[in-house]
Amino acid sequence: MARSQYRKLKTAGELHRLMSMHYGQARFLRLGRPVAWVTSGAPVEILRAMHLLPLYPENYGALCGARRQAVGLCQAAEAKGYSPDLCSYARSSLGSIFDSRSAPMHGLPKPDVLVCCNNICGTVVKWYEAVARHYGVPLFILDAPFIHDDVRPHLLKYVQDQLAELIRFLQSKTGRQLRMERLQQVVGLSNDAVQLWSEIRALCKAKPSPLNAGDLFVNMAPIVVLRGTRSAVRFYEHLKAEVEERVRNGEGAVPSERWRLLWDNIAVWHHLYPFYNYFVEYDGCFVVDTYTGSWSQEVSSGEPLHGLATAYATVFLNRSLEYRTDLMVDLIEAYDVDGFVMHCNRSCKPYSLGQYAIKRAITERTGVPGLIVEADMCDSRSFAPEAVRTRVQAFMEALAG
Amino acid sequence: MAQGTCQGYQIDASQELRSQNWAGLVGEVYQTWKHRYAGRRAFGYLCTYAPLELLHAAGLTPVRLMPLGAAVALVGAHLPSFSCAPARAVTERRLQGELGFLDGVLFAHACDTMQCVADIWRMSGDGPLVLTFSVPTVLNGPHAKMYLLAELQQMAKALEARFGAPITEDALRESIAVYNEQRRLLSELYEQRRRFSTEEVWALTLLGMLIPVEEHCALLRSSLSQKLDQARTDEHGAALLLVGAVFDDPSLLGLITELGGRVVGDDLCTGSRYFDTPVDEGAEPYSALAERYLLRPPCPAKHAGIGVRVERVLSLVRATRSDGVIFLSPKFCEPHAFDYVALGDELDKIGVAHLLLESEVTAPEGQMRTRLQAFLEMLEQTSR
Repeated sequence: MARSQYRKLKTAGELHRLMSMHYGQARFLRLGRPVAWVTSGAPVEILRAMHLLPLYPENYGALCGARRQAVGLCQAAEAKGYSPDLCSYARSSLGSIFDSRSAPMHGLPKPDVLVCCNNICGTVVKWYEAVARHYGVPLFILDAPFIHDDVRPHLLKYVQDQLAELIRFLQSKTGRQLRMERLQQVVGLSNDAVQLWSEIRALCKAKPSPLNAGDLFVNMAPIVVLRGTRSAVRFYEHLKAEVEERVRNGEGAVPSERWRLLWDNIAVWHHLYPFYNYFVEYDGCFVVDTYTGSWSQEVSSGEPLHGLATAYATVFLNRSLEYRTDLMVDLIEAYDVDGFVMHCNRSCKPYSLGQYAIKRAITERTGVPGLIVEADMCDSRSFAPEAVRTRVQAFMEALAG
Repeated sequence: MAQGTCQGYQIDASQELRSQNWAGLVGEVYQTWKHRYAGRRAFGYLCTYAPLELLHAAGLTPVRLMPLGAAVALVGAHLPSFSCAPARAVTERRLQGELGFLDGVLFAHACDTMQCVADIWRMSGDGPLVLTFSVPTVLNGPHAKMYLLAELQQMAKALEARFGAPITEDALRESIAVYNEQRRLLSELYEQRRRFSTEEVWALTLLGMLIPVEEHCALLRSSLSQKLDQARTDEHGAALLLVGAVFDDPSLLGLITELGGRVVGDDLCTGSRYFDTPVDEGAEPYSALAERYLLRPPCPAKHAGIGVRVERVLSLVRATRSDGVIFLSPKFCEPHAFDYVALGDELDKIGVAHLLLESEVTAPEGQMRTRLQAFLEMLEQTSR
């Protein structure tokens, strides 16, 4: 049995500086650039190529959750009539607008435009409608229909046609122009970062795994909010070097790693490390997860709008439950996983509602046991640590037994 | 005694339908469907964005799946507690084996929850055939129609392949005509609603989604003609507009009537959103079907432009001269919960009172009664 501990990465300082720059830039170093609030699955390469400053309310929500400041902000949104059953990222974000004084960094700077893509969920459409209504700023919704079966050509055409609309929209609302060569450049940088991040995650096939889920969730931030920039590429080069070094030296994130686990869904931000430590106590390490790999699709070469449409229309959360089950079975085999844990996240229906069906299917196909744990990614009121801990104990003891 | 009848269903249109009778009548719909309509092929749907005319032209009889009072027992192992009552109750019916009368179910894409339910049902391996129909979320975009047309044509091919018969243009035109007739008759019912009780209007509307459309049209025609010579009911009590999703529980209506309120209109999934906006019979059928999607008042799960839904509800308030609005949102429904804030704010600005009633699988009736009573009393006082 290991003591709960965390092996800090040397690149942690660089990560912190990068994220501070990201948030600080929009507030203090704008240099006349328009600010856009964007969803995590938006084709940000287009915005970066037009020299807009993208900000991510979802990442901000995760930050509020991690700092344990989300509850107060959620309550501010609830006071305006927003149901407590709504996504806690949305409530935190809206709450930070209504009560900016209580919010980390006093909230995000007011956006000039909003770009929302529903490839991750339908909630973002309603959330961004609310933000557009509040600020009176233009909103573009990129409609990426959910894929129940195969990827149909007319779906890709629909998304690609809208990307051309998006460019026209941004040009009209911000006065910025898009040069195709610049877009190609940004797409190249995005692909570089995505490839590095994929390689880093693949290094966790080593035994012991150099990283635990907490590391994956913290270090995914640049792939989400800085994708398309040189600093993201540099950071992941440094991180990859460090992780490779750990593998060479046989240094595991959990030195006494005995059980290799797969994590499904978003992290429980308000208990990020403590939660994974429940498993560390039983020599369990999360060597792979389904969320941080969502940004692992490279944009194919050729016509950039076609490549972007394909990459963004086919993200993990836009695919059927059967597709996701197949992916998880592949991960279990590739990473030699002994058990899987699914965070049944109150805030995320597309990710959580299918978990009972997926869990049954995975165990049927692989024999690997799973555990479903109810919580919320950001709102700590929906988390009962002692109850969860008991279930973790039972699960890990069953693995050993 | 005025009576509207159709094969299998006798509605005594002169009597007020009490909730117990109604629950019995409708609650048995699914169990008795195969018996009442032997020879027809029932095809389930849950959302008004399902292309009913296409199903009908393929020789199928669309039947809407709703909770209709289903209790939940088995669904806890299939859907987490934070999913809405329609998803849970209809899934429960499937788990209990009550949907065996269906040849299949069509899930039109609307919300995250139903998106998951479609795949969950499909993964179970048993139960009815699941077909999925993709609908754009952004209905006012320049490319939505092209995408819809492709999806409609793909669905037509899938139905032809599955059920054998080709869907001819004539068949589709006929199906469009009969559903347009239903829409016209339901609009007339709403216009003539003062000749009926609140429960009758609601029951006659809901039946339209449960029985074959031809029979429903006959039922409406005879009900309307029989009521035309009746005097309109007095216009006492607070005029209420109902705004929400699936409304299939008559006990609330009974409560409203008992407490002296009267329903004058709605923006409900099982109300006006079902029948609003006819399909253009002068245009090419697939194009006309697609157009209706774009033109009809949107469900909150769709985006038809900033402020479109708000304007729709406000115009209904004005047209029906409502004294108050009752929001009937299912608990755990993001689209309705988000729209509630915008709608509430706009109603506040024009001084129209509103009440939010969140429905769950097991509704706490006592609390609902108290709040409704207080709301109606407040409306009575302000109208004096």
